[in-house]
Amino acid sequence: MWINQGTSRKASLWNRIQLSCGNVTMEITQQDVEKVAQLARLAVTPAEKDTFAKQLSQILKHVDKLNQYETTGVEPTSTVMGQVNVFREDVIRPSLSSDKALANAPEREADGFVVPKIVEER
Amino acid sequence: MTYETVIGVEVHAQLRTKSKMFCGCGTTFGLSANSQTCPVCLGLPGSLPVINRMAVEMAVRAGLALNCSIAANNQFARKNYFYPDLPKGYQISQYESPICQHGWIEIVGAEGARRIRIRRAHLEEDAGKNVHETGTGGSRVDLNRAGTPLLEIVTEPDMGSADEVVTYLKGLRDILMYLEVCDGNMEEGSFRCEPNLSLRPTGQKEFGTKVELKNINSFRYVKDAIDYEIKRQTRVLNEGGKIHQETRLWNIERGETAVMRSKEEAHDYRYFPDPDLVPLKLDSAWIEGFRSSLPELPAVRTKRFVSDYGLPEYDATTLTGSKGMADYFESCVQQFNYPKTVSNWVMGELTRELNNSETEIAASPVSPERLVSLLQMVDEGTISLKVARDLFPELYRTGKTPEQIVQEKGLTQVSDEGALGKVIDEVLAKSPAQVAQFKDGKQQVLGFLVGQVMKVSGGKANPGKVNELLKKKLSP
Amino acid sequence: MSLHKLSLIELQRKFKAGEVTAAEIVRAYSLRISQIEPKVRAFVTHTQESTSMQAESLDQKLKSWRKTMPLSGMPLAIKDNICTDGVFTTCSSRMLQNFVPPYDATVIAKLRAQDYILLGKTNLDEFAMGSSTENSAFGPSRNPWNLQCVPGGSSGGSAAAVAAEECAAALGSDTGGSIRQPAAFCGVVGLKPTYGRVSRYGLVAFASSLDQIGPITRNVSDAAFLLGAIAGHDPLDSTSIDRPVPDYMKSLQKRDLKNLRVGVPVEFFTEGLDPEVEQAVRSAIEELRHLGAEVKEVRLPRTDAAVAVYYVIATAEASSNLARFDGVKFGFRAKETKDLLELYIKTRQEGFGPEVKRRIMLGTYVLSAGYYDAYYGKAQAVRTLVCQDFEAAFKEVDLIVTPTTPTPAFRLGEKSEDPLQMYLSDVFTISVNLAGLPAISLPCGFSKAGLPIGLQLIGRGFEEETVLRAAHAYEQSAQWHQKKPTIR
Repeated sequence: MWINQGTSRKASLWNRIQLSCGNVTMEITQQDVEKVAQLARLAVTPAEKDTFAKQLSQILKHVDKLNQYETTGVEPTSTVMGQVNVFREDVIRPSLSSDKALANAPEREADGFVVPKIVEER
Repeated sequence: MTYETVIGVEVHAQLRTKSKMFCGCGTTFGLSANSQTCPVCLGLPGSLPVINRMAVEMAVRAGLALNCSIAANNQFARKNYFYPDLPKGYQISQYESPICQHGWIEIVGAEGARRIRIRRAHLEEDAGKNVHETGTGGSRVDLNRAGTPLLEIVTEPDMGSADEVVTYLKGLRDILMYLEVCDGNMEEGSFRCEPNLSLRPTGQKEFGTKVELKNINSFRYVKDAIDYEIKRQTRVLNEGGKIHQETRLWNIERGETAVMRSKEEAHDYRYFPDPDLVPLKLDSAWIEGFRSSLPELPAVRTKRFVSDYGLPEYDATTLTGSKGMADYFESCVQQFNYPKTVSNWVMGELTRELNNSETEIAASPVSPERLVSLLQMVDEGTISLKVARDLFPELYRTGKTPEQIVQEKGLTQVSDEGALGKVIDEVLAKSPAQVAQFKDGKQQVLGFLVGQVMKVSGGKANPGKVNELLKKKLSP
Repeated sequence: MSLHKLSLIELQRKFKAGEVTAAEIVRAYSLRISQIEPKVRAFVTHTQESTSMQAESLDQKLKSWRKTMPLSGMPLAIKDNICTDGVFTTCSSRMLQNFVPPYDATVIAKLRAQDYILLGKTNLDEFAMGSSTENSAFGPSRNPWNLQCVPGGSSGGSAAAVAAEECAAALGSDTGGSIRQPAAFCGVVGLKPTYGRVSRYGLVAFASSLDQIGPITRNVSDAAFLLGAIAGHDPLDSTSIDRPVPDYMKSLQKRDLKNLRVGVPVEFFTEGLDPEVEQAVRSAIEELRHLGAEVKEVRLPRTDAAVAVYYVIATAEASSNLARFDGVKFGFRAKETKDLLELYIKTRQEGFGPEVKRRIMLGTYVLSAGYYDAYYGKAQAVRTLVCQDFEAAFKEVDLIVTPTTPTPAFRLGEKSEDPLQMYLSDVFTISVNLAGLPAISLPCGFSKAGLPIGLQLIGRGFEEETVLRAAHAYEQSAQWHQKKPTIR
């Protein structure tokens, strides 16, 4: 019997999802894209800027459906299985040799990873 | 116009764990580059952090000693930014729930004692180091230090002068060293301080624009940098200029601060809870356990040394400057209740020998028991004070007991009247002029004569007895 | 019978009995791979040379003392986002094209301790971000049932390799369905264990709170067998859980499903569901009822929020997890950069593909100042609601049954232009990761076009045994796993 009911209730999951991605209203501007790209250390070409702005707007429009859910007083989930207090004891374990540590370095000098001269500071 | 200075301080104290905050690599300073690293602290793909229990315990102990409340719920967060010495592209830190909050320490300055409030202290991992010269004109990155546990301790803007800041920093450092959670070594960067400072017209309520000072690795430079910065800001303001919110580096050679070059980019660290680490829930009974086992802190101990042992303020402060020295002192006094005598010896002979051999007091070859038995021999008249002082270096070097040395060298004090009488007669015979002076009423020559007797006896004569016998022989 | 036709357990029995040597196994698979691989392209890295030597030394060792461990000599393929000491681990990204980890993931250390044989590293969507392997920097893998179709993703290489009998079994990773969806598309079994059941140490992180390693196999017994070998607490992974590992093979012994309550969530049977998929899944549910299960309807009302929650949380975590790929310590570095900032930007621009960049952008945006509460904070709270839905449902039933995917495998290039449509096709698998639950996908029929259809069984946390038991009972009764693709 659930099968019959199921058909009539064909709810709407799909509908609701589809509806929300029709028109783009959540505006991600090209300036937003630029700012985010800068934070993420990515470059964006003018064409990408446009594509990303559209795609991110579309996705975020979909994400806006989260506002349908009342979450006042709901504990956020950051670790799903609920463990707490996981420690290691303060014991030294062998390190890698510096050769192994540096084996994947794109550029090295002596025992150091090399980067272009650092001028700006944090 | 007169200005009031408002200063807050951020301290990064390296915790004295054996291994790093999130992996089993050691924390030794000064090893060859990148020899103390593993997949975790190199930030290799796939590696995961696990919290060092000892780092949390040390943070709790420090927090309690700083009168903080300890957060029951702790979450580690990621602070996201790009920098070559930050291997994962984020630093694991604490953001919304620092482990310690709302504390204070008392400092004693020119205007008496007052509290400096501590806003928060939180756990985080250290970054690596960038070495700014390579053969090819680039920079070199060493990740040995990456992942070392730090406690970042932030005050409220409660200080008004360089002297206050230095007093606060010394007090804080003493406490952390006392708790044995930080070695306090400023040159090696185990205790790094970053004051932030602003000026406001006297009487004004609102704060002025804040400037952060960095690259300060001694108390002297703390004072110099702050004094310089106060002068600089006063001048700028008096000339009608504006203070910019910026970070300035202390330049040791030039004795001035200079703006640190930085990108014109607002920081957006995008903190969020680190999903690789589960929350820490600290049980109040567990926290209270640490509270009851906290050692007595330096300021309290100093006061007690003055009130209980009658020591001068100077002695009390010096002795409690290190936990080891204060413990040593108290261990001696328990067995030999002459506090000032013990204090003199600990601060004098013992400290000299320890300094000469660069030894920690905890590792002193002369134990409190040995020192006490030496002092007892003086007290009982078995040896003279002079002999005791002379033989101390040998006691320190050889590890023999004072009794052994005294016996081997025949240093036992001579109090026998017959033996002393012979020496005294000898000296009197050689010093007719002084004898005559004494008889003329010049009492001071007695000291000279006692000295002569001591000299002839090789320091072994009991000076009290000599005094007594001399007077008897010279009396009419 | 060719060795490559044997299931993991069949092969293991033969090897244990000394009827076949490791060298013979490796030769058989090398031959099979050389024939099939040009069509399927399941692998990113082949390790045949070192494998042959490894097999010979294993045979030598066993000559003097024949004591085998469960996975001794077993030829496995490993998804290329799981670190293997001394063997390339590329994540199918240009960024890690030359990366050789100096350490083993914990699951690999466990397999190595049992003398398994690594046949190679399998293709995936770059950094496990995708549902088709089309986001691999090294080109897509193909679905063995129809080479014009995708094998699914992101563990598409592993699923294709198992379906094409290029390995006895494989490991994949599952963040939003990346084991189950390709298993469904390729007609094999894929199991995502409970979050924390298998160590993540050495799995290159995509979304740390969702990622989990699991087996992809030819049948349910093999999945139970392989899960037993990789599960367990790991002190190197704070999110791994310290609970004993049950004997999963034992859970398969019971063949009927009496006293098992199976829930069917109405929210999963909606208009977007392909009628052929719906038909196959409903028949499978009938089969479960025949096997003795009590079937009833359950509600998971917040299911339609799952995709939104997932794409906020997963991209936020990914944006941070992928910050370490900066051209400084390992991996790709762009050439001729004038300063540090340019080094970062050019390296990441040239090293990452478009989908990875899109997700980093999205994740960076939702964490950035002013948006955290509206997006990340909100998503974490709604995640709690999604978990609560499952908790409520599991008060009434022991197992939840759904389709694994809304449609069978789609054609290469069909969806790659529209990221949101691609994301939405993960709707049936995603909520399971949000709640950290164990779930299996196994074949439950074929479309008229001859493409496999997957059935998903979801269990309570740490109840892999229930999931495996029901899956095994259904498989043994339905026998879909006997059907093999003709690769052409």
